Amino acid sequence: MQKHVVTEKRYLLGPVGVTFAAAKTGSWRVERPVQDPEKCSACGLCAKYCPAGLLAVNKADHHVTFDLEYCKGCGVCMNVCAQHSITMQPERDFV
Amino acid sequence: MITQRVFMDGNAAAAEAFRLARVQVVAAYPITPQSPIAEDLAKFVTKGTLNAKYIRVESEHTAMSCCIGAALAGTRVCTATASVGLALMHEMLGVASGLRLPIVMGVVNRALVAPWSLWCDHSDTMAERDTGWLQLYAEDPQEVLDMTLIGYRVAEHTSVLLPIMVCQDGFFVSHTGCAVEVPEQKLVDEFVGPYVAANLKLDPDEVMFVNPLTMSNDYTELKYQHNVGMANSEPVLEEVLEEFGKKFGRTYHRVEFYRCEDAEEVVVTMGSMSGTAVYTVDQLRAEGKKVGAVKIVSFRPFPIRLLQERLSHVPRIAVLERATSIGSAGGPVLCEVRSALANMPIAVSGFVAGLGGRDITPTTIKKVFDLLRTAPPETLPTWVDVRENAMTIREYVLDREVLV
Repeated sequence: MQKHVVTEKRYLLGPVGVTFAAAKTGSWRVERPVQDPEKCSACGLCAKYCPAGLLAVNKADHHVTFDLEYCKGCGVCMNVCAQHSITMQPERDFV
Repeated sequence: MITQRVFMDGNAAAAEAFRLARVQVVAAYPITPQSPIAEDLAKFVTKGTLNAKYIRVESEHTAMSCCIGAALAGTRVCTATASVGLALMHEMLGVASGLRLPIVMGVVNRALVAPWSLWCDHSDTMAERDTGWLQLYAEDPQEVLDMTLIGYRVAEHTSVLLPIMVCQDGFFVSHTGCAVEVPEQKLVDEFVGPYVAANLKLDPDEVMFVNPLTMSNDYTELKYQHNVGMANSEPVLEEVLEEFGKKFGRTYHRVEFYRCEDAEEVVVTMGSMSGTAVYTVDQLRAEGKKVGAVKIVSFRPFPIRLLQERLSHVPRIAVLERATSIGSAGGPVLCEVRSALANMPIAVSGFVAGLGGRDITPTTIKKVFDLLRTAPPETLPTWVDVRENAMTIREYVLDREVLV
């Protein structure tokens, strides 16, 4: 068994959008969340409060991963973190 | 005569006309592209330049209901709407006309859904063509102002007593400013006069039960009365247009014929596209082509006899319209023109263009004349400005991972 990509093409009828050039909301971000696993207690509040559900908390090593393709940098995760393990850093530092 | 020349768009002209007609009750709900009419009227009432009660309603259905109640209570009323707002009024439109109430409504023509659109076509008012209202189509802001004043005179005439829509093309007219001659209030007062509830009314001194359940023994007769009122509106409209011309110096007709006397091909239009048609006719005439243009001002009542009298010599007629009637033998205007000219040796072809705000340019109208001259007449209308790739404009490509 091998993975193949099959491209399907059809024509839709009626008013509908089919191009999503602006869908990846990560491009809106001016600050990104950065997490320090040393301070993290893996409580999971940040993941619960993320309005877009983009966080994953590793309970074993206390690493939090952010889906930066969609993260708008709103800072809710930083605000709810009781351990202050998340900071917001200017996006320009990562260019 | 003191007339002021004021720079205003179609919406401002409609609101100014309602103010000049001294409406006593306004019930309007804002909707693009009509909102400035509702806003201007609210401003007039707040500033005190219009002595009226402004009812802030929660929908167009309620706006029309309030107009009906206020008209029955003996006041001159107005409202304005567009598109889906007009569609939401549908039920009450029949009540207004069936109760013979002389309401004047500004309609800013906008496409119906779906697809969602804010822009002009005539599908909204065409969908209401059988509600028993009169419908006048204005080509520019000046006509909007004038037709609204004319509207009150015709609607309130005791042999008519029917509501009337004064239609203008969304954005093309409603948001296009030009110099408008605003007549002096005194002249308008003389022309329109005070409102007197002449028929059904809510009056403790003249008690009546308005709109009871009507059995089949009377329903037909009451509908017939309505039909007679609409028929009477033809000569009344003619008289009022003539009187308006004498008083204000601008003469209008139920149908405007342009260079049709010796024409071999004529295009029938309505609303803002009419000016483009006249311009194109002049261009084609300069090339030696015998063409003409017809502008229908009064779609209801439909000017059947005028078309029969003035177009009987024209071999080929194109009806260009900003609406479709999907599944029908033609768009609403095409069907009307065809049945008016049914017993004459004239080929009437239909053309649909300008839907959802698409511009009708001289190129579109030239194409209509070309097809009229060269192509055999078709029963169904030709979509003259549709793109060739219409069926494939929404290509949907999806990459799927599969295990093989």
